[in-house]
Amino acid sequence: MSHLEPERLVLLALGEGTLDQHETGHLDSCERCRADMAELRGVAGLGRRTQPLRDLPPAPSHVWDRIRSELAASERAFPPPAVSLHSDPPPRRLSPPRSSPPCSSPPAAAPPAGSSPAASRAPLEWPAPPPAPVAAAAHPPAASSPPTAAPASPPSTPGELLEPVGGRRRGPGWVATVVIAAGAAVAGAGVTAGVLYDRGPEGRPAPATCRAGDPRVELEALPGAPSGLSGYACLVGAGGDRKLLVHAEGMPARADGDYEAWLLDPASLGVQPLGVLGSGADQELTVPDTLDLARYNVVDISAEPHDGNAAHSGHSVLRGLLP
Amino acid sequence: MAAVTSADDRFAALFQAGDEHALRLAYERFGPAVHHLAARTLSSAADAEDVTQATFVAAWLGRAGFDPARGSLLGWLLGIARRKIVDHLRAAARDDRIAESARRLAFFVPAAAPPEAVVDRLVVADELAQLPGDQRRVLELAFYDDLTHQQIAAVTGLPLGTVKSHLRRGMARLRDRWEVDGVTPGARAAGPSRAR
Repeated sequence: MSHLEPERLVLLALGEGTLDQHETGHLDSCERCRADMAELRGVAGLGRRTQPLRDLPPAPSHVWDRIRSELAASERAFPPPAVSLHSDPPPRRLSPPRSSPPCSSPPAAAPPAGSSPAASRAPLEWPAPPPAPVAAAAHPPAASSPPTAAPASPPSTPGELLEPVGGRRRGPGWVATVVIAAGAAVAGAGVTAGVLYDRGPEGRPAPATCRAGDPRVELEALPGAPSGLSGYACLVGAGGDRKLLVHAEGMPARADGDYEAWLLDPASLGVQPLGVLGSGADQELTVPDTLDLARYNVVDISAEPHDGNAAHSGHSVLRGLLP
Repeated sequence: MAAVTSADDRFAALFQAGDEHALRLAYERFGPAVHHLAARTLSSAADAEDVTQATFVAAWLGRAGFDPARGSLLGWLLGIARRKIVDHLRAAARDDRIAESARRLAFFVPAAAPPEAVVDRLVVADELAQLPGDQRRVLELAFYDDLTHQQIAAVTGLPLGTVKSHLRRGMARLRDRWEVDGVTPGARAAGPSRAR
C-alpha cells in the first residue's frame, strides 16, 4: 500500500479538500502517515496563529537599560552602549554597528547579504532601535569600555538624530513615529507623550477633562500592551447625560487600527462600545442612558484593527474598575 | 540542524563567545519574542518586564551553557524565559495583592495562553519569517487568508505545481523548526518519519 503523497498530506492538513475512502483507509492503518498528518495539522494550526507575531514591537528600551545595569553590577564584561544603533540609520540586517571599535571581528554577525533568501521581511532585519537615551548619556557608571569605545561620530545635533530615521521610513509606522518623537523631544520642542498619540490634525473642541472632585478610575496597562501606557477615567453627569472622560497616555499611533473604549460587564460578559478614541490624550465619551453601570463597571481600552469587525478584538491595552 | 540559518548560527557563536555586541543584538532580535511570551503569560506589564530582564541577564551569565547543536538561540532564550515565568507565577500565587488584581482583571485578559503554546507559535513565526520569499508568501496566503492552492496560484501567478511544492517545503521547514525549538512538537513519538 502506498503512502499518501506528501503534497496531498500538506493540503489536507491545511484544510483543503476531504479525505477520500482510500485515504481514510490508509490513515487508519498507517501509523507513519497518521503521525505526519497530525504534525502537519499542528504546524498549520500554529502557522495560522502567527500573524500577530510578525511585527512584534521592540522590547522596551528601559528594560535593556536595566539589563545593562544589572550585568554591570554583577560582571565586569558587558556590552558597551550601542551608540551607533541610535545615531546611525537603523541597520537593515544584522550588521556591525558602525562606530563600535570594541567589536573588532567584523561581525561575523554580519551575514552575507545574500545568504538569506527571505527578501522583504528579512528575519535578520533588526527592529528599529528603541528610542533609547543618546549614546554618551547611556554609558553606565561602571562601564569598563576602552577609551576607544567613544562613538566615531557622535550625533552632534538633534537634526542628525532625526534625519536618517526620517529618511528611511520602514517597518511598522509607529516605530518611526516613536523614534521621530524622541528626536523631536531632544530638539527641545516641548513634546509630551501626547505626540505619540497624534494621528493627524483635527479641529474638534477640546474634550472635557477630569476635575479634582470627580471619582477617578486608574487604568492599568494589561499584558501585551506597549510599555509606557497609562491613563485614568472618570464618570461625570447623570441620567441620560452621562459621560466617561478618558485620559490615556503613551498610546503608540497605529497605522492599521484604532483604540476603542468599552464598558464591560464581567458577570454577563457583556460588552458596550463607547466609541473610537480620537487623537489627543483626552476623550469624552457618551454612556448610553440605559446602561447599568453597576454591572458594566469595567472601563476597557482595546486596540482594534481595521478589519471591518466591530466586535471587541480581545486585545485590551488598558483597564480599570469603576467605583 | 537544518532549521537554524547559518547567519543565526554565526550570531549564536558570537553570543556564546561573549562578544560585547552580541547581547545588545540578541535583545533587539529576540527581545520582542521574549517580552511577548512574558506579557502573554503574566498578569502585569511590570512582571513581564522583570521576566524579560531576568531572562537576558541569566542568558548572558549562562551563555557557556548554550549548545547550538540542540536548538536555536531563540529557542534557548524562550526556554529560560519559560522557567522565569513559572518562578514568577509561583511567587505571584503567594501575593494576595496580585491575586486580587488578577481576579478583578481576569475577564478578557489574554493571559490564559499557556507559555508552551506561545513558545511554539513564536518559533514557528520566526521560521516562517526566514523562509524564502515565495515560500513564505504562499504559506501566508494559506494561513492568513485561507486560500486554496488554486487560489494562491491565481493570486500569485505561480504555477500550481510550484505552489504545491512551496507549501510542502515550507511546511516541512516549519515542522523541523518546531521539533527543534518547540515545547510540544506533535506526534513525533508515533513513528520515525523524518524521511521525506
